[in-house]
Amino acid sequence: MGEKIYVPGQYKRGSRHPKKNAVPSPTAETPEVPWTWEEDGMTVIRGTARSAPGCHNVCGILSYVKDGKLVKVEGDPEDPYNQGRLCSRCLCIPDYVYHEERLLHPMKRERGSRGKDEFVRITWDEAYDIIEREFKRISEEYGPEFIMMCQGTGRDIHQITRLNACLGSPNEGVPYFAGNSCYLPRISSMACMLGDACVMDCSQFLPERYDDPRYAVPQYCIIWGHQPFYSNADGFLGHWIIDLMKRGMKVAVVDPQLTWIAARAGEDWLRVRPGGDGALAMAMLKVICDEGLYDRDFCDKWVYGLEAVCERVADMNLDELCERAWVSRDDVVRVARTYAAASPAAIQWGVALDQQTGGQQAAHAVTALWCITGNLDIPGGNVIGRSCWGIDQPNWVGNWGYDELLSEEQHAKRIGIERYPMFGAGFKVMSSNATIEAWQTGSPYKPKAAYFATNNFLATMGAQSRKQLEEWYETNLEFVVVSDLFMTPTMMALADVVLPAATYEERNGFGGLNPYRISCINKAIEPVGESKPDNTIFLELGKRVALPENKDIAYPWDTVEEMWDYALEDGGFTWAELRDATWKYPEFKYRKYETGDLRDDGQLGFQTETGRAELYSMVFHHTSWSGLDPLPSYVEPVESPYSAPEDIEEYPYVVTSGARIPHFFHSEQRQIKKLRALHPDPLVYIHPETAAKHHISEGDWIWIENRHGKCKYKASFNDTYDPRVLQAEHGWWFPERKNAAEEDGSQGELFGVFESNINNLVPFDAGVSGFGANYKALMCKIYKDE
Amino acid sequence: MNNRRPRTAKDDKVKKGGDYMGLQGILVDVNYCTGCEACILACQQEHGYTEKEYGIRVTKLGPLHIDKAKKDYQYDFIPQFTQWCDLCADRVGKGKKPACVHHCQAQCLDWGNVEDIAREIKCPKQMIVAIAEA
Repeated sequence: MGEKIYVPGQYKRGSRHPKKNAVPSPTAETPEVPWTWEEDGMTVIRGTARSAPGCHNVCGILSYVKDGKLVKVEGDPEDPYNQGRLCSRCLCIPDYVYHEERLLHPMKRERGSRGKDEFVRITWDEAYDIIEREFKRISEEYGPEFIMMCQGTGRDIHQITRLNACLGSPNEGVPYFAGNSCYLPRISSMACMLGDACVMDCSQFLPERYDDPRYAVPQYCIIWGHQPFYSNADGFLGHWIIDLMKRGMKVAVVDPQLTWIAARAGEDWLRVRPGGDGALAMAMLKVICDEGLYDRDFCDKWVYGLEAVCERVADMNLDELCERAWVSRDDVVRVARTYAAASPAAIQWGVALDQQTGGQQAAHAVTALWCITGNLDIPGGNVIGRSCWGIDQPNWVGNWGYDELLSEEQHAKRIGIERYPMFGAGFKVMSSNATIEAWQTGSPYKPKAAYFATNNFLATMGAQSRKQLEEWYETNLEFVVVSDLFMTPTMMALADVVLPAATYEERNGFGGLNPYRISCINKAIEPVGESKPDNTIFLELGKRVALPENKDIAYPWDTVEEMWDYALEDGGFTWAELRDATWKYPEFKYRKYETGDLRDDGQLGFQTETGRAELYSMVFHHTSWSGLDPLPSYVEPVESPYSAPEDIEEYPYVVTSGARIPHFFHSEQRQIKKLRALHPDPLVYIHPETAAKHHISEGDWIWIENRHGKCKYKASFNDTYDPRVLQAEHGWWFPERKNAAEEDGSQGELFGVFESNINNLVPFDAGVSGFGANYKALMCKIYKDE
Repeated sequence: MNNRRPRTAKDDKVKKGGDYMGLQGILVDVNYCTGCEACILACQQEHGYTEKEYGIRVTKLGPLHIDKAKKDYQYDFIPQFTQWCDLCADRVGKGKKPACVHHCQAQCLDWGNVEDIAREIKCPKQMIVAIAEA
């Protein structure tokens, strides 16, 4: 095959609709920097570190290349985003790129050999032939909606939505992830209340950052259910918090764990019960409403439903809420008053809010806090961000291709669209819980094929993943494609066809997943072996599998760069122009409700039915038949000491999952020696008094168990936890067991993925919205591994 | 936090001792080290070290209770430098910062002549590790 030539700007459009932005909004000034130069006999390439490996950020990176080989990387000091910093995972990226276990070529395996290392090397052409043939067969025998495309998190692969759309399937998502319990509960709550989503303002929208005169440092910040420095969640570089602390910001921390930042909060560390966040949020809301600490002027002008909220919280009992949250009344009152009095004040929250039954409701209450105190869309508050220039494609909510390639008839077949109204209201992913229900009941239908794009759900998101695998995925899925960089437990368990994916060093693209800027992912080296970037795979495969009626617009591009030119057209620049600039920041505005920038009709206010920030959500009002509450509320998690007190005797403890480790992105990097050496074993953190009751010594392996399952962890003592609470890490599997296991052919139970897997204990649950499942508040018992 | 400690005669005595004159070192602001350990990997990458070699290592001190009622805790991360640390002489010679200083996510590291960086010490829990003769 001849190399396709990329001519900037000469791209085909992938839509019959006109461009969205006739005149793109202006671009902010950024430093003029070259994207490549020679240094020390090496070529330096300036780009963005995203992805693979997985990450939620878009750090600027300088890649040093000699003779076509990546020698080292450095954080880009010129990049406003990370300002030279990098974390441990990128700082050993050459070890990742050239790892001896990297998958170097496509493979196939007989369906009957799933779980066994009986893969056979094939060419890309044969892999595509098989996929094309099997997808066509499934479509003809059952219907295209029986094919689902699944991803993980933190990867620039959201463009996969175009692939399922072009062949006629509306089903893309994370169907194994109960309650879509990562950010979607918060995002969807904010969207229903505000018509938009907010993020804490650390000046990240402004290329001059802290020096921009428009910016104001928050006086006070509540860090809620979040370990910013180790998780770097959702386009938020955690150490921005440090930058602000150096500039005078004080913090409060809501966390069952005394994190390092919690130790800086002093008395304002609120050691919340896992799953008690909603009660705490309502308690704080009550203090602010009862004491009239809200911003009256702001609420009069811009907020809808304040009186209704005040009435609701007036009827609640503060002591009861505090008791539910396991936080003292004095602490709640003080933090609520301090937050309300500070200006500006911000809340930076984490995934802990999503991973409980009442996650969506807790997010509603927390969002209400920054709305009624007037910290909405102001410098140093919680600001509204939108996709840059309306370029949705890099965002996971963008659903690239969904509207232009799928028929109305196929839209209606998306799993969960009828079951959960919030999934019908603009979140165009399949509902995980509706899929779990579909596996259980057969209604509306059981999917038959899947493409898992660089996702290892058995180790990460899958609630009771062994049950999911054995009862549903293995039996129902007639055909499975898995792309990844390494052989994972998920690939070993399920793949009929393996596609080797590539890292950010080996591909061209652009970084998204944030509303601040668009930055260039700039190829430094050719892909290792025969590996290909995910987006190259989507483009090449899409040309083959698109329905005849979609062929002209589905994938009309010869190269990914031409595809990016089309994706970027609403910004008014080409991919090559982006590479020349490295970053493009749209000019940012604060207080957009005052300028008519939020509403489609150009009127002042918010993009909501009332035009106001709706504490009383009209979306929830119209769909309240489904159990959605228009007002902030508190929902107790299922299987908690309060919702199931009869279980306390057998399961006296609450284990919370997902304690973050800086060196691993969820289930990744366990095979990178330098990183693993810093954290070799899966740990559970336990109060020594609790351990003593069970004759557990520090370093012992213990079992954590409830009615759904059990798992094994190494005990690490920490007497700052509540003695009733344990915290376990997640994402563990053991790539090193590959060789040991080959002798008996079993792959050591898929690299031990079910052994130290806290998700074994997670119920298949979700709140009434379909969002929020109980990953972080699991009643359990413990005992020593004998 | 961050209160300037009053200068004492003892400080002057130490400073005038003179033994550290001509030494170079790293200034660590322990107030902000979050234990992310990026420095370890930055060092290993720069020098081509394996997982068993490192010019810097981070120790966790805590969490320990000081005053439970006031939620006062000892909980710090302390970077220490090893025999493998050469202050990135190659990099520094080319006008760059040492790899750990460049990449420190908390930006709590600085480097230079000990007598120069000593002047940057402004509050408790900032420390200098002298590493090599200039």
